Amino acid sequence: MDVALLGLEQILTWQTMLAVVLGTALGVAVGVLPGLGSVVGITMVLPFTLTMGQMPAVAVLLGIYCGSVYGGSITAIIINTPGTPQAAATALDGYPMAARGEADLALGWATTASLIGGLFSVLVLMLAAPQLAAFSLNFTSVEYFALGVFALICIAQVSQGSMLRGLLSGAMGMFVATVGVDPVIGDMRFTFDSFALSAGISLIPAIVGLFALSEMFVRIAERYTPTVKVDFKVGFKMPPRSAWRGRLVLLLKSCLIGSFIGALPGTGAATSAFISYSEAKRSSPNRARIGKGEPDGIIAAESANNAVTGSALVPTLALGIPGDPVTAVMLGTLIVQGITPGPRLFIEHLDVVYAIFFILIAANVAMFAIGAVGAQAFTRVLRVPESLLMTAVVVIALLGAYGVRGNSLDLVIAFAAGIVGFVMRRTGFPIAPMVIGMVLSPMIENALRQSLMLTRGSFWAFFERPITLALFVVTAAILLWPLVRWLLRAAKTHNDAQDRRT
Amino acid sequence: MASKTPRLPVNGTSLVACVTLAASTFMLWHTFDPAYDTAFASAGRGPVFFPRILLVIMLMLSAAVLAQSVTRPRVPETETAALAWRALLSVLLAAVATGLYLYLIYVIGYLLASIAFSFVLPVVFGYRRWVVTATFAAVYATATWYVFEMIFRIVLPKSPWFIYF
Repeated sequence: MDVALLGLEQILTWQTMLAVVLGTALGVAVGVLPGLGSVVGITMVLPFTLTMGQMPAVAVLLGIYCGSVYGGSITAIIINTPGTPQAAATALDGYPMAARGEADLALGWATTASLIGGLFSVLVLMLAAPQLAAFSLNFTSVEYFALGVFALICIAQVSQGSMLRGLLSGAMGMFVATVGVDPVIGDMRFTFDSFALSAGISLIPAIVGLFALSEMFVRIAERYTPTVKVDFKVGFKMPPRSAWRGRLVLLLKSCLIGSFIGALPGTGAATSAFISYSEAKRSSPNRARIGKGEPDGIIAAESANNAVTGSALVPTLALGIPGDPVTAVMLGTLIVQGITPGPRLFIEHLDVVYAIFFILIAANVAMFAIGAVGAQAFTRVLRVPESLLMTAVVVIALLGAYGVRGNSLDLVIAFAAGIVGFVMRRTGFPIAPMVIGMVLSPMIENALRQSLMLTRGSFWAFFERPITLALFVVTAAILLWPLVRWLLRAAKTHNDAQDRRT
Repeated sequence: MASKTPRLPVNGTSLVACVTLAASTFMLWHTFDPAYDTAFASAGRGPVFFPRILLVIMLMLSAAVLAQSVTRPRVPETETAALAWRALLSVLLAAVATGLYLYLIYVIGYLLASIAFSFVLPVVFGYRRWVVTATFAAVYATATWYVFEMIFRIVLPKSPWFIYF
């Protein structure tokens, strides 16, 4: 209890509160703009966080995270263009409601469901993260190796595009992270006698390039012009209390779906929103109206996508293993701020963990207030010409890449990563596994080499530990599943052909 | 994207797979450089032990992706639509502008380079309201410079002609 109060004390400063509000507002603005998401939002504020105190910096990051997931729903409802992929399911019922003149009510449903989903996920984080951290104290390097490989394979598997391309992207990210000093022996590798490369390839510039710069190149290539005129007035109307009757079960179910999916590596808010939406379509008492402007659709999508925010932080904070690029960037930034996620954090700095919980609660409340007061104002961001907006994003993101180490090589890395990211996106190679590969590579390498020292060089000893064995079995199943599915399909086609012949 | 413009005569996925195949082959060859033989205490698991595993995996995956793209060249259009020459030219122009900007930051300082870049990039995007662009470039670059240099005290590269920027 004392530790919780200490955590609360840390965030009850005007700087942290201001950071929560500004971060959330920026997150909503970034979420409103189609194409820019949480990662670009976070990379934009990186240079600012470097000069902030620990808690205000964390508050800005978490505010952007929560705000951006919610912000996408505003444009999804008002102009049928989800600002983020997470809000795509919201548009299915939100826009029909807006089209029949109930945009204010649709925004009310979306904002309230987002708040409840977000708060629910904080509860999940508060309950699950300490348990997972305590459990992981029993982990040796062997378990961490298996866990790292499992997380990477999951992310590669669920990424868009083919699994092979996802795996190749992950392997490339892991290899890039090996450039520089060998973490065990201290020898240089792949530096080609360049002193600048001896410090390795930093994560933040790579992320700036892969996400912000490549987004600019993609938009130039596509001449993407989402400048939209929002002519009608959009207000905010709280759904009446009576309207919640019969919808609370759906809300709880959606929160549970979002929280569960959010904790899995690589899935994320968009997946949870669609699964929750499908579940509502299957089981809601109002299922016949879903897709035609039914609040159940909005509740299912919005509560589930916001329920991801807290639960995605469970493996990040408890194990130091990010589940997606957003948490990977946050992990990198937390480390810059002197917070190293992992089980030790829960032992040595429990006050910081509690402070993070409270910041998330504050960010969700701020998100609700901002949505209720300023939904209309945020749609004005859409009127800014895309060219000026992207220029602003690129300049500030590059400043972020430079600001971390003040190193000219980081700007070169960001530029190169921008071109690589553009080529990958145009050719259907997912970027997320590459980023996660870069984050997980040092951990996997250290764990593998330490494990081999422990087991005197025997790989077989890895399979003698039950948790490791279970993780390897699941990993192998994920890897082999596409092959099994292909074989089953081939067998079915063969049988059908034989049936036709007979 | 305009579908009537001529498209590049290359399969992007195959091209990427070929590049990663070549790069991983070269890097794998490089891991056998005598420079890496110095780790006596590593018992065969020295600095290139883990990268070698990764490079072998990359080689196999690149070959598999290449084989897949050659045998199944038709991929979802939305994700991998071939790039038109005109669009590619715009991207190249933006890439050159960005590369030049990053170089000029160290030659003429952050502020001047950012003003120039903030003016050029919207033009590459096709924005032609010159007064708006010029005002935006001057105001935005100066604002970011002021906030970082003067308020946050982050030292940004300076020009050789002025003391402050």
